[in-house]
Amino acid sequence: MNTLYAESLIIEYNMSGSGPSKRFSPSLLTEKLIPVCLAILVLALLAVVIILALALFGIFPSVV
Amino acid sequence: MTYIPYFSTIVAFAFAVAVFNRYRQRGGTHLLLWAIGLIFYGLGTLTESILNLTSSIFLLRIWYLTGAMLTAAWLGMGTVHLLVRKGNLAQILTWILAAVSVLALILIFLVPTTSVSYDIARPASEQYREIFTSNGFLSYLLAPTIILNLYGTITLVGGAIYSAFLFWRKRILINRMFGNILIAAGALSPAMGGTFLRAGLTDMLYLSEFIGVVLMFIGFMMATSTQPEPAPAT
Repeated sequence: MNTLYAESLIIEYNMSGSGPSKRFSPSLLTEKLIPVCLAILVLALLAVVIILALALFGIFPSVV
Repeated sequence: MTYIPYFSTIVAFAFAVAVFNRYRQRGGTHLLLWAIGLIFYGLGTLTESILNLTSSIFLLRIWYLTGAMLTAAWLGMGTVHLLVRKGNLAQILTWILAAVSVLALILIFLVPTTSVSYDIARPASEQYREIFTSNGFLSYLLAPTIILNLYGTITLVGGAIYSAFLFWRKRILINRMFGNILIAAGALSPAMGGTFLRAGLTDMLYLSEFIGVVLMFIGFMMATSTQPEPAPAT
């Protein structure tokens, strides 16, 4: 499995010990909002991918 | 006539310059590939703007090549270089994309056109199918275009969502987390533009391109901004 950049950055961060300024404590609103945002983005990505895949097989009118 | 593609062009080229400057300062193949992708983005919206003023089949071909075929794939290729650091996978995929891009360049100029003339009152995206012959278009261009867009969307948007999720899970680098969320949302915006076009909302297509590049630019600036260190205790 390839090491992913974000993970390697996190590892670097953890090892550097230069931490507190880079950590954050989410507010109550952020705590609820970010997972919802990420879920919406994943759903939107899935929708675009499905539409493109259907267009590839001629099932859906092409959007490109 | 709409002025939105002019603004999209200005933002896309400014974004490309910002990314390229960062590449010159710090290196990193991903930045170079993003800059290339953004130049394609800018060329796509620039040709779209010019096609609002003058009729040109040559520009229509350039518009289709850069805007519809190459932009998403090259931006996504940058993200692949950013995320996949081990092995030669990213390099191999880049060479494949470069070869496919050259092939696309050849194909777009080989596609025959019909006798239908270009109407500057209508957007390029609404009439290119009437101008490129359906046989030539369908057999040569449609499948590679969809595959390039699938690859670009999955890697660019998926990579940004994944990075944002990791920063969120670890509760670090809030600027990069929000930056990646904006990049994902911005990249999805033009991808959905085609759907707006199908619904007859042409202005929404232009707007989706503009919103897309603006959100990605803001996201990039946020993700690359340095957070201030706390003042040392005295």
